[in-house]
Amino acid sequence: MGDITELLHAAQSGDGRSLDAVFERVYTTLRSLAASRLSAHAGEHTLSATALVHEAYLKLVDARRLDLADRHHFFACAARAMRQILVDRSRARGAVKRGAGQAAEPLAHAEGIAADAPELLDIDAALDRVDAIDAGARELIEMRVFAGLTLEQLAETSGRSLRSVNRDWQRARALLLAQLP
Amino acid sequence: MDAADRRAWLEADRLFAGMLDLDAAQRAARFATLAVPADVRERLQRLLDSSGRAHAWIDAGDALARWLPPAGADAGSAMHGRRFGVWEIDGELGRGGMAVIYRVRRVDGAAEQTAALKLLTVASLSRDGAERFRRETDILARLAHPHIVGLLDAGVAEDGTPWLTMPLVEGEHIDAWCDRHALDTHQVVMLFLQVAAAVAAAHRNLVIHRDLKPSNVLVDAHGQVRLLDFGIARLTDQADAATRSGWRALTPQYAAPEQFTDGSPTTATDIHGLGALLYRLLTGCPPRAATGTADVTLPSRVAAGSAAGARHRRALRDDLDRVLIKSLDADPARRYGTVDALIADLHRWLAGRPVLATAPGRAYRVRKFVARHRLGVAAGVALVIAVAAGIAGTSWQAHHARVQAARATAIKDFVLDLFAAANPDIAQGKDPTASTLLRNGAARVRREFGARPLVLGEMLGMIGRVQLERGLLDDAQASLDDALAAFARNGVPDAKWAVAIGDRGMLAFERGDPVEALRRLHEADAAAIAAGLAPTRPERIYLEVRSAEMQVEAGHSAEAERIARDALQRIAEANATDEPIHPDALCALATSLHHQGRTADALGVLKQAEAAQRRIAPAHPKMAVILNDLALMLHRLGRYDEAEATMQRAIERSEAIYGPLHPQTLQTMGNRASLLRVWKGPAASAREYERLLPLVERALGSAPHPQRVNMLGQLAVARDEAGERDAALQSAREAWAMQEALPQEQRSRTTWVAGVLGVMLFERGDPAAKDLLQRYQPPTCSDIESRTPFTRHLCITRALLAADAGDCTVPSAVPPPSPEPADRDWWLAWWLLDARCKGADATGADTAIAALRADRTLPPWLATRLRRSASAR
Repeated sequence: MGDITELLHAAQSGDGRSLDAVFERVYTTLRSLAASRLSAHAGEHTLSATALVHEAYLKLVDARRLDLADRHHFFACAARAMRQILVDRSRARGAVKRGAGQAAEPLAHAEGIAADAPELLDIDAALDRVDAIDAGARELIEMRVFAGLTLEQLAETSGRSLRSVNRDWQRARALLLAQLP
Repeated sequence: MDAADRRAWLEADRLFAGMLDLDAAQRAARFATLAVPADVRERLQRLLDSSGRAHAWIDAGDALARWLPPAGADAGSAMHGRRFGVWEIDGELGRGGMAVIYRVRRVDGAAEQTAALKLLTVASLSRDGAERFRRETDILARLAHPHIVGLLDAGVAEDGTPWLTMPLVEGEHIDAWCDRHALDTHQVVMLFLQVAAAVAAAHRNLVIHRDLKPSNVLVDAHGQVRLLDFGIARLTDQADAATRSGWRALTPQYAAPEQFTDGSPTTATDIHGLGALLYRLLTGCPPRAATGTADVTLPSRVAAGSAAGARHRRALRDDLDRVLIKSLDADPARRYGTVDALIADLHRWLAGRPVLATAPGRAYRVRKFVARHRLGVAAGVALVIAVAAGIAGTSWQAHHARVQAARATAIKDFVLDLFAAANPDIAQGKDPTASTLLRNGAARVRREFGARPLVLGEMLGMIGRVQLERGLLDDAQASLDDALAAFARNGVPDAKWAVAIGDRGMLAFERGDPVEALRRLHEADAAAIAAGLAPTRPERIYLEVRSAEMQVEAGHSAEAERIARDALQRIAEANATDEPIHPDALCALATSLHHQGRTADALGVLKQAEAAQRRIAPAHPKMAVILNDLALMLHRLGRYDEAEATMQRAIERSEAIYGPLHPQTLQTMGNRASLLRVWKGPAASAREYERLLPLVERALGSAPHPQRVNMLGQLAVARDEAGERDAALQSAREAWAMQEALPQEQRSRTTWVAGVLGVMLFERGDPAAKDLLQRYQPPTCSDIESRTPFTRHLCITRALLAADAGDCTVPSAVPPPSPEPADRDWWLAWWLLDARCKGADATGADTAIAALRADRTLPPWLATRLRRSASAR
């Protein structure tokens, strides 16, 4: 398997197999990162999916050699891989209960919002429905929720204005929430 | 999902997209009037419902943490024990979407110290995120304020990951602290004023926080507020393309509406943030739903319904409602103009006096104040960035990190000291002028970096550029010449050296010498190549676009077009169509087309340039230039109303940006004066030139200058056409005298003033006319009825003189049936010439003379020729 930076370059020039290879690499790395974190002794810290994705990014990619389109591909793949990993884990454990073990709050916690989070498997199914309606919306949600990219970062990697990305996000968000039970 | 289901969703999504910009009430109204099938309607209802509600799991940056079980202890983390500078990681403190924070210990043997280390894991995501992160931390390190958690240290790890350390603050989020201590309204406001004071201090240092919210404000055990997370606050506005991207994550419930629409963050953004924070402390809820909508519910109403806010309800209703609503206004211009104004109003409230928040009639003044204030901030900030960006750029590429770090620190100190003078407290509410700041800066650079030629060259080069752009030509020349000398002393090819050579060329142009400008630009490009820069590098593109502009100025329009098109190609290759150089290149192309007579094509290109400029930086000075050129072309195409309106916008923009005395403003005004001849008649045009000439002299100095020659000549023509013959002659003589005093290489574009004076002297029978008229030949002397009066008279005069010398060539013309009175003599002269050259057959002469003469006394020059013609007959 080639260097992931090369693979991303190749994927960008239209080589579909390279993109699959990127996904494989990212998926494997993420899973092993997650596994090593989760298998350690119980502690007080919450594992963050976003942090994992970014750790994988730093581990796999020579950032200085990647252009924006490559990065976009990378994070799209990583988000999809992260979703896959989390869903697999949920299935394996017979659905992790919501809110399990929230010891430390994430840094960017959202104040003043009281809405119950749905089950991960429900979100997964809802995302499949969103994908059937608009695959772009599905990818946007994945990158936002599973790779933790901010709208600003999404605007940058996709080379579009923040305003138009924000509009797409509002639509995708509403579409997803409307698919949830 | 079947096809019908999908179609219904897509249609609902489309309708929903059309309602995104509406507030809740407008959405409801639109929804009620929609005529759509029931299945679409039901789906749209669900989209609207879900968009109106906040959902932490999807709106928070790092939502999925909640689905994951606790992670292992940090003993298992690969990061434990890792070194960053003098810091070693002890354990993890927390994680977020953008960063991980570790507890670190100082391990260089100096004093025992514990701190928080922040790793921006995704900084490398943006093209030059690390660079930006570094220069921001460098400058922010100086934000020393008792209520601001500043920076201890910052650096870049071997793998390129930037890090920074901050003091470890033990405290509680301000919202939780207020709720737990059940503070009364006075106590909340007092505590809040500490936050406001910290933000005001940041603003005085030209730093905008952008993300004020409860989780960024801690209260320590002594009840003292500590404002966090200035680490990646912004120092910039949208005019700076390099920092447009890579914004930090927003917190939707606290973000100002303009932050969702690509508006540039300003101090007004932080006014909103402060308002949002106080709103939360007093009502128990953040002011906005997750979507960044415009409407804010009246705080007292919210407080009434919440346990945390109930005790503040009365105070809110009395006055604080208005303070909050004003701070949170969706329109930044209608918020408080400064943090200090907000603080003052809260002090009024504390003292039981009425607040000013809603005093009627203030909106306009506040708006004006903010507009002015913003411009000041933007100008200052752009300069900080210009100077600091250069530092970061070079130090990043360098190999000797330690040397570079020392150098960056020295420059950083310099920049900060320079801007300490911009502190409004010191200047008593008045910013020092940019020219003073720049001159002081240049003097300090010379003094302090004399021993380091590369730094000296870079800094003086940057300062020189800014001075050049602001029209401070003498200052710019001093800075640029010294910069070039410093680079030469350093002796190593360098991109910034090349740029400084090019800018020195542009200075020559500003002084009226496009040929010298071209020579320098050529030299600059050679230097850029020597420094190993590819053609798509920004420095090369910059020089190429400037070359295209100068080719136009030097009269080589076809070459200019070729270069401009090449530059546009490079810009496309470099993916730089959102960079400010793009509209510049389009403008150069438009001007080159215009000068080749392809004005309609040029207008199309220039409209592209206007659109690009509007997209990239509508408040940029370049906008005034584009509007000016647009007006000229519209005029040329006979679209006078559009031209006049556009020119007015150009002047307003130019005066606002440059001030009334800048060459750019004066040139735009000069253009308008010239067009006034068509719009309002020659007398109006003459009055405008008379008003402008003293201004030009003040701006450019009393030495001869092509722009002054041009204006004097234009004034002469306008006066002549307005019938002010003596005054006209005087202006023409002045113009010619100044033209003769210009250095040879600056004369090419104003030789026409010889023709102006020549015609006037000819009319007066002055023998000097002949010599003058030989010095200038109009580009064309055909169809002279469609030329300007000046050209027409010149063509006829030259033909008369040539005929006297035996060379009979008649300018082609279709004389108008009833010429303007001032033009009649000239048409009579043309008729005589025509008759004479056709073989002196004067049949019909009497009729023509009768028609054209209209019983007036003929001027001597014409009477003589009439007699000669009659005697020939």
